[in-house]
Amino acid sequence: MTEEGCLLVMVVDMHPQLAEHDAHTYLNAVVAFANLHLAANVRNSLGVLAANHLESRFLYPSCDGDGVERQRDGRLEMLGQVDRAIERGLKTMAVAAGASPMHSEQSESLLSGAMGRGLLYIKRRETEEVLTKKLQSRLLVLKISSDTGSQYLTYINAYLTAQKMSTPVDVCVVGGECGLLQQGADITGGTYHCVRQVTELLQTLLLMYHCGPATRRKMNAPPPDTVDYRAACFCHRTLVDMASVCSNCLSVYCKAVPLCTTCNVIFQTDRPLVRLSKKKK
Amino acid sequence: MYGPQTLTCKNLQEYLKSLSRDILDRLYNHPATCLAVFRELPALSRQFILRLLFVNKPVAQVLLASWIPQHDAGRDVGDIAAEHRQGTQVLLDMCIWQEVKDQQGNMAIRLSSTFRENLKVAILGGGRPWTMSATLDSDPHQRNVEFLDKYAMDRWESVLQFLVQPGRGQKAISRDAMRTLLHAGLIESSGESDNMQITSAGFQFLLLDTASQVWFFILKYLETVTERGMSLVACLTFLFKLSFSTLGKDYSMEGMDNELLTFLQHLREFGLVYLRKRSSGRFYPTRLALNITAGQNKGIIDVPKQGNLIIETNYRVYAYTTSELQISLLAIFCDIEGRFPNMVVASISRSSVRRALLKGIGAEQIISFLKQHCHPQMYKLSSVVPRTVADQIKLWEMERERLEFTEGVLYKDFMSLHDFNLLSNYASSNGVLIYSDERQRTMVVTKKGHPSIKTFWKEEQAK
Amino acid sequence: MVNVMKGILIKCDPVMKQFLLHLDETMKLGSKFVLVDLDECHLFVQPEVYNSLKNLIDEQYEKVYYNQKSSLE
Repeated sequence: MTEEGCLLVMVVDMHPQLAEHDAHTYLNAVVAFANLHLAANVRNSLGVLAANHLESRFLYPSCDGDGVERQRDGRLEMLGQVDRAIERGLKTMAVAAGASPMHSEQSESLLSGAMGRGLLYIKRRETEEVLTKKLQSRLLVLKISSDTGSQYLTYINAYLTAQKMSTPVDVCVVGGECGLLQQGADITGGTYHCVRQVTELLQTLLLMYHCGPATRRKMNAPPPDTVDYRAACFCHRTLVDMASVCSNCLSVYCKAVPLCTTCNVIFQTDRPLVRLSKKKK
Repeated sequence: MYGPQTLTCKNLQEYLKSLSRDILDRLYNHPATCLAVFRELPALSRQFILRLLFVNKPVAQVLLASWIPQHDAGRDVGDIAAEHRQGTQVLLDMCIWQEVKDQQGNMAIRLSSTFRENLKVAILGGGRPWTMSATLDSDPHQRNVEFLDKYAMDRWESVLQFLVQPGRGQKAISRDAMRTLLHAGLIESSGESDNMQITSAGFQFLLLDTASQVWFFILKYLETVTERGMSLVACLTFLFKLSFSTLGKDYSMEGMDNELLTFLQHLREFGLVYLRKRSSGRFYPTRLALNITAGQNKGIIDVPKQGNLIIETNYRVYAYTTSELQISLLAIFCDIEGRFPNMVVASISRSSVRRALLKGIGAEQIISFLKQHCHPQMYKLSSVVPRTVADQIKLWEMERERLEFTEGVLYKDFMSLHDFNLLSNYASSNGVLIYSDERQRTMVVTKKGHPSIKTFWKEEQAK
Repeated sequence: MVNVMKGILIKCDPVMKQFLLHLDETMKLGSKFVLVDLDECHLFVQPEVYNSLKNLIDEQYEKVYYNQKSSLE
């Protein structure tokens, strides 16, 4: 029964909007899930990133060395260390966010950047593997903030990279639906689910996200919804159904423009047709 | 029946299933045990436990059945259902959950509350710390990881060295280690009282990887524990606690009674822990003790030392080592051709492999030994052991297996087809029929099955 | 009455079976040892011949196999 270990990278949304939901339950669910992942298989490993409207930061493995930490309760020592590392990282982030003058109402969390960093971490671990065996890995994204289309391009880049790396991106959204992340889960072969209340979060995580993709196929799951594959136009970042596309770089514009801002190609639009009078003789 | 037996080693599940229910219940009273058991379960069983982890009441069987996916494009749902059944069966066998009847009288499943509570403590916190090291101050004689690795390998290799050459160096290993080796059937006394000889099982043991060796050895040791007057539950619980320690940290010996101290002393002799002196009050687990319960599955989590074999497609093997033990291990199935200051040249030939095969070692064991100990450079090739060499070793094994011998008794010249059918059906339902031909009306049964067939036939004749 | 015989059932491929029949005919083991020729892959032989049969077959293999000697010698 040799099972390959799995590297799970969690990207946790720490936007100040979290205050509207129960932050305590949310964080408890995150840490509990991380612990369960590590406990399930001795070869499993973990990486945790947090993102708010200002920055994204690596919580575990932490950069500052841990001193000799002793067991404080009946929990496995290593799991206790994970808990404390996450706590320290979050505290630093919260203090930094509090000190910054930027308003948080309009902005959204820098999840796409955190996802990119997570993918880089996976790649780095792969190259460090002694025996060049493919490291099984997956990315889990937890989101609570509302969505604007401003990070559309970065998201799509991250999804396509993950697809290339055969890393499924699982998404769990708390509060409202998020079409962009749903697209990501669909493209990479992960699972998408929306949770209404934070109190249901741990249950959903355990039921649907704990096992790897191979085992997931063996358990009954709710049927997937149709995915909203609308693209966001590059000029206004709004989701559109019909749009004009640059033939050179495939950037999407809601109405026809004479100049493509991404690749600087000039388009000829609405010009009258020139009659080739020479031919007629 | 004919020929030497293959060495089999139980994994954690099989070992626990062999214990009595009472012992299992007492074992599950500790978080470390529950976590160790949880880790070794198959993935589906783990998922089942997690789903019921926070549920206190019994859950109807119908609900469990609804977890099997109903229909799917292209996949065989029958296989998945079989896996689900297997998963639930494992949990029943290990007494982790039981079948009960719920209030409506339907069949339900209840997760054992001791198991549930202790698993929750081990993963999510709460309860009391079981390493009791919170009050330990820093060690004036701190040992680092390299020292511990070296110590562990030295001690373990002395046990292996003893196996390879039991005649000399008998003082090098402790009496307990020797006792365990005898009990495990790895050595046997031959004729004179002092001389020990390695057995075929011993050869197979030598070629296993270190993690499997340590697990096998500890299992056999645990089988002798009750004879020595120690409690199996206490030793097992301590072993599980040990397997979850962190390398390089010291742990306190506070609160350990005499039994456990003896056990700790034995573990020190085998190289699983390092103890500077008994009075120092702290010990260091070594790499051999970590995750010991993973046994064969531990695989390549930690690689304490790198391999040093280069295997070429012309059947030559170059070993960059001067360790006597390694060279003796190689000599089991290779012909050593030359020795240099830093290297040994050997070659794999039909006669050398046959020598090993005659001792009961299998081709698969030889190939896995080569794989484990090969130089990191070899990993860059597509197959670590060249395909020609691996296939040839397997072919040499197969040529010994061309004939299959079974002792038996032949029946022929039946009067009627009816008699023949009657007897052959009876024999096959008892599982003793090994050959039958209806046209010639001949059949063969095993030697052991013959008496019962004879009595059956006599009864039939009497009618 | 049913004939009852004690012995060893040998299962092998057809090639080996022909070889065993040849050994039987030429009495390499000192006497005939095959009791019943069952079918293409099965033979029933006397119980005592197990060891000598294995030795004979090993000898045969030794004759046939090329044992390369190492160039270091």
